[in-house]
Amino acid sequence: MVKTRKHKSTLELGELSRDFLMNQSEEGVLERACQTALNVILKAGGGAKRRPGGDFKFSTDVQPRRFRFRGRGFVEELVFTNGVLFVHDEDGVLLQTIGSQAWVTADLDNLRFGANANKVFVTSALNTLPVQELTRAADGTWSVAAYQFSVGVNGKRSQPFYDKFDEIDTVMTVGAYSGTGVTLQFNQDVLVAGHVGLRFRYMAANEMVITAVTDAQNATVDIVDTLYPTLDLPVASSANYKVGEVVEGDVSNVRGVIVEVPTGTSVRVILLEGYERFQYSATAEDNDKLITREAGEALTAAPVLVTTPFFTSIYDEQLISAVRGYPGSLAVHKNRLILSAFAEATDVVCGSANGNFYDFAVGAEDENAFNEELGADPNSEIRHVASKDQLVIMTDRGCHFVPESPQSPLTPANIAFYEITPDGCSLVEPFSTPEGIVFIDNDAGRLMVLAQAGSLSQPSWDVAELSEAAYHMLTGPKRLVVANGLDGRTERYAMVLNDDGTVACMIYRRGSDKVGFSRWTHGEGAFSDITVSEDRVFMTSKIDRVFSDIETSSIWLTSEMKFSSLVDDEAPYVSAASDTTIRNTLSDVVKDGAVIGSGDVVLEGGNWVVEDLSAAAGQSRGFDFDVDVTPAPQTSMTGSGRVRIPKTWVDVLDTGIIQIGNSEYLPWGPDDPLDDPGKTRTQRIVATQLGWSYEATKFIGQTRGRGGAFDVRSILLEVSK
Amino acid sequence: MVEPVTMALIASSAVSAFGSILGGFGQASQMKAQAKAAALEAKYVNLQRAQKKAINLEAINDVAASVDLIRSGRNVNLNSATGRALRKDRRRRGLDNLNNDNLSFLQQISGLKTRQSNLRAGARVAPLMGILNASGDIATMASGFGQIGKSGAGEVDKIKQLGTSQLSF
Repeated sequence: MVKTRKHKSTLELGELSRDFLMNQSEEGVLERACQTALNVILKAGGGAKRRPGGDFKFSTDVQPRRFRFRGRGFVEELVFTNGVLFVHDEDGVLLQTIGSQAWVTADLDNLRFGANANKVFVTSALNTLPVQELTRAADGTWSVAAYQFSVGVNGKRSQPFYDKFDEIDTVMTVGAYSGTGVTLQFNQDVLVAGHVGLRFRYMAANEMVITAVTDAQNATVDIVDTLYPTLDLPVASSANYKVGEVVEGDVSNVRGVIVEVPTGTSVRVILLEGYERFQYSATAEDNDKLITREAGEALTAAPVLVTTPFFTSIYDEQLISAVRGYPGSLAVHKNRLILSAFAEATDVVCGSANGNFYDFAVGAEDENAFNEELGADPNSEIRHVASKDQLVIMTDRGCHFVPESPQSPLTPANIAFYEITPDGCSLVEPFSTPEGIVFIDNDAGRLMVLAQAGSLSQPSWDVAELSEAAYHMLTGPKRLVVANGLDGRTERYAMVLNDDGTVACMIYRRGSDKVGFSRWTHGEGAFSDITVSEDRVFMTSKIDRVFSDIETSSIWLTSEMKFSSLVDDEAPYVSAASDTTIRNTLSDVVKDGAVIGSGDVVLEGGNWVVEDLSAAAGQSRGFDFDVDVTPAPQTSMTGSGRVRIPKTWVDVLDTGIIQIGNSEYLPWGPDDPLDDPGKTRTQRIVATQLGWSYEATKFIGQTRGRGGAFDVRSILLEVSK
Repeated sequence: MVEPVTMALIASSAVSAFGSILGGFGQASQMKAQAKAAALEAKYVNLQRAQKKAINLEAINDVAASVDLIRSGRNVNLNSATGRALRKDRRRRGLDNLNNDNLSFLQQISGLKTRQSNLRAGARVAPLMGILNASGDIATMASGFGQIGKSGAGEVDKIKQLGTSQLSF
């Protein structure tokens, strides 16, 4: 007995993972899902449309990394290549080239950006690039300089320091209280040659500059701030004083830490807070008593300055340097520059003084800079800092937000890190969306969203997974963007660029908990970079050109994704010797919205042409790609046997050539002229086919070299068993 | 014969002079008592100062503990650079309060000591002031004797002698 059923698919959930389809964990999924959604966009109302092609803008023969700078009334494309910055306008016209810069090719995929007004701060997640400051002058020209902290008294930098680089029992010994050429010694290996010029602070307060490094434990320094004194304090009995205790004068309130009890009648301390040396006078009534938890002896004579400063484990070192690494993430947040993701201080977040991006000198006043560390898990590695209404800190093992509001703005005194989720964040830079922040999780490479909930006065955040049913599309995420529309279409798309050059494109409906994925592949090469500004998406693709059996080279083409472009990196077809961009590739020629042929780009008569195709006005060339919207297989019909799909109804809108199963369907009606390659039709195609299959589904799409308009609204399969 | 009115004037002046002299001594002892009270109050304020200092120091410690407690709840490291800066700042603020209070107490003590010193000095000169006041009365008395002089100078001389002897102590 033959069983026949009809199955309709609206394709709106896009491509789902194979196991998700087979398990059918959710009712009705098969009617809305695809087995394959390749090089299409999913539409808000259901159905799938051929993805936009690339409108070619510019090329580079080295790997680029792009950042779109949105100024007031203009957009410019900052293109970073190995040591060079190119500035293009939004149409790809080169405006400026600035060479001899600090970043190198390895940094490019790891660059992080923070923009404000006419500035862009750039750093690298590799922690090897000093923060770069790109400034756009009033006349539109850009300049690049290494970021510098503001300089204060005695040449001191307003920079953050850190006291946990070294083992806890490491001690510092300085040869004198002041002067130049003073010896500095550590009891463990701390120093490297690169420390020359860097700054340490005795008692985490008195700054010194290293002028020479002798070995890993010895150096020479110039002392900037006179060191806090080491004092011998005479008392009647020192029996109850212990090393490590803090002693406080009961009259002066001067405090020092006991570093030694040298005799039965004296205590040796290093002052903790300044240079005032307790209160003692032979005639005074109120001499200090030296108070600790268990002792309270009065000074019996004036404190005596010890000749050389005592060694101490209380010291710190400048946080940011070539030795300790540079920040791996930055953000401009509420008039502060936030620096974080340090290589050797992985849980530290630094914020500049309010309104001064260059002052990181820590203080307790509201406007001061801060230098804070995560308390819950000091071993966590901060990966990103992101600016929303609250500052969001994303680590390898969780995400946190700082609960700030207009009534309780971010100050050193009220910083808190409230956990949003224990889901860690990968190194892929998160992307800010109207709802919150989308990011790639650290454990399984899932696409997640941190959604802002609650109110400003009572902020809260939720977390949700977006790629649960299509996790297989995330094959090594390296870049993430969200387009608020796409070339005039109103749907929003989150796009994840994978290491393998594919893009997972997710329709992202406002207010809906359903998402759908499709995969994008490049017609000839691999996508290597993606940026967006509002609804404009720009892709860079890497094309490998084969010159001979042993000679290849790559070129990177940057294009804007536009529906008016049928193929990738589409450009007017110019048969000229100078048009060498795509030489030695397999290229396609487009005419009137349809691909009319493919061929190797070869040198012919002095011109680079697509082999066997002659140039003609109105033609363009680029790289066509496969399109595939194979519906979900009807698992209830397959079981262990084979099925037939005798009929398929495909509802298309303005669609050109389309392939259903093994047959190609052309858009021409009986009365249409056949010399119109871009002809489209809106119709319900009925495909009839013979044969058996183990898959209760059917290929519907276009193959390379046969590209054209493609917009499928729904598919109806008749399946028999 | 001395007129009755003149005699009454002389008698009252004599009583008044005697009263002034006695009053001077009384004021001196009162001022000594007040000086003692001021000294006691100064000691009391000094005690208050010590107590307040102890309270302020305790408050400083409480604030430091409270800062740490709040920061623990906020999931930040207590020993971060900002944590240290906040602790130092709150201690500085506490010490500022302590010093302000201390200064205020010291001003009070200083005022009381000055008052004590002034009262002691006043006590020393109060009898003399009584006598000086008494001299006015004596002058009045003398003018009474002047009236008598018009009727009998011998009595005036006696009274002058009396006045002189009284002034001599």
